[in-house]
Amino acid sequence: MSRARDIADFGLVSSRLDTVGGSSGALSNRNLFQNGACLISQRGTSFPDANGMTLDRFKVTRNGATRNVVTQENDGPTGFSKSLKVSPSTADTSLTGSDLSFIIINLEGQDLQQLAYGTSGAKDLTMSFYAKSNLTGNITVSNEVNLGPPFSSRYFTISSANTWERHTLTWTGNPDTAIDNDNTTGIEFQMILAAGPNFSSGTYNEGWHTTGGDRVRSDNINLSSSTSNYFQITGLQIEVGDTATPFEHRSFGDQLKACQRYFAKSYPYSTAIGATTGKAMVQTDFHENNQGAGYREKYDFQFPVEMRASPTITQYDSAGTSGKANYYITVSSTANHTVSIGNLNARCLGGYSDRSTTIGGWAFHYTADAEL
Amino acid sequence: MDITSAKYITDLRGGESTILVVIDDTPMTVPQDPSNVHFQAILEWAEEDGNEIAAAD
Repeated sequence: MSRARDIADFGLVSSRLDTVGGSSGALSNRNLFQNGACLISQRGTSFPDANGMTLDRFKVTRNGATRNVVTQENDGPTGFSKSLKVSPSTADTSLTGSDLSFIIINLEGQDLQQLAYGTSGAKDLTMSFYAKSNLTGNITVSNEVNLGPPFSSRYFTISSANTWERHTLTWTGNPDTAIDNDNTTGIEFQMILAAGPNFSSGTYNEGWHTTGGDRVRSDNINLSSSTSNYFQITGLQIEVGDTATPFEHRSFGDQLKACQRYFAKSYPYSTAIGATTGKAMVQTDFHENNQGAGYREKYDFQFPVEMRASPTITQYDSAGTSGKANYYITVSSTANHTVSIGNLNARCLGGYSDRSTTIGGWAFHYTADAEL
Repeated sequence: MDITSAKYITDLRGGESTILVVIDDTPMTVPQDPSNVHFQAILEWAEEDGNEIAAAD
């Protein structure tokens, strides 16, 4: 390759770096959100009556008469293999009161301090994503600092039905309210798919404000109007500054680790939670010897990564029964026993057996939930 | 999040750092960590009339 060509190529790279740097964001790891490409779904791939966490880091919540099915789809715009899909399972053609369906995206406060909220130098924040729906129309996204108030809304328009479109929303920095510098929610985004008049009856307000009724546009789509409706999203990126840069793809492994700060499980990734299997259970080291009456086998296990907070633990025995564990007396084990969880923190869980049962050791599957 | 019962667990050192709670018909162990969303929900549930976190066995 000629020296002239080398110089020309270097110029192109420099120009692109200037573009990214000019957005006030980072050159890498720009995305403040985990799992924006919807690759990770440790809890499963279908959520029949979604009202909580679905794909990792994506919460889909409803209120009133609305009901939704959420699925991880093998579908996306060019360059994306997965997306999150919301479909109503019950039609709600006339929204009333506090009827609501929305996607929630939470960011940890300590990860947002570079925004300098609460100061005169507060920085803008830009969200970009791909969306597709059979409906056309407006969808509101509310930004809520420290779970709100204050609120500030933006909206995007689906112009072409059944077509992946890229959208970009930018919020101006908030100079009045500092984001809590801790492991709780610093900013919550609510993407509104259906909202009753309690949320949409006010005057839609894009400035920072404190009135809940002013959050949602009165002409927001009603995804719940038919069970044939759907909304899909992927390629979600949230970054500092007023410029949406190209989506920063990261490996499956990197994204899984990032998500495990908020949710982890002992099962292999592709194994359903509560499946009938003893494979990959956490277990005590010595389980072939009966320790006799009154013995309590205690053991600590580390989580894959340090979690956001001390997590909630749900145990499963090898039969898939929640709240239960397996006991060993010989090399084989039996299900439907009790292991209590103590010594629970963001790094590990400690369990101990029931003193009244003869035991050599124990084992169980777990989920650890430290979501925001 | 539908909480139907909650009871403190005594660990091997005699402390009560966790709560055994039934949420949406599933038994779970919840730490007494203020930033755990389930613990926050238990505290709200316990403030309602008739609800109480039971003492450990």
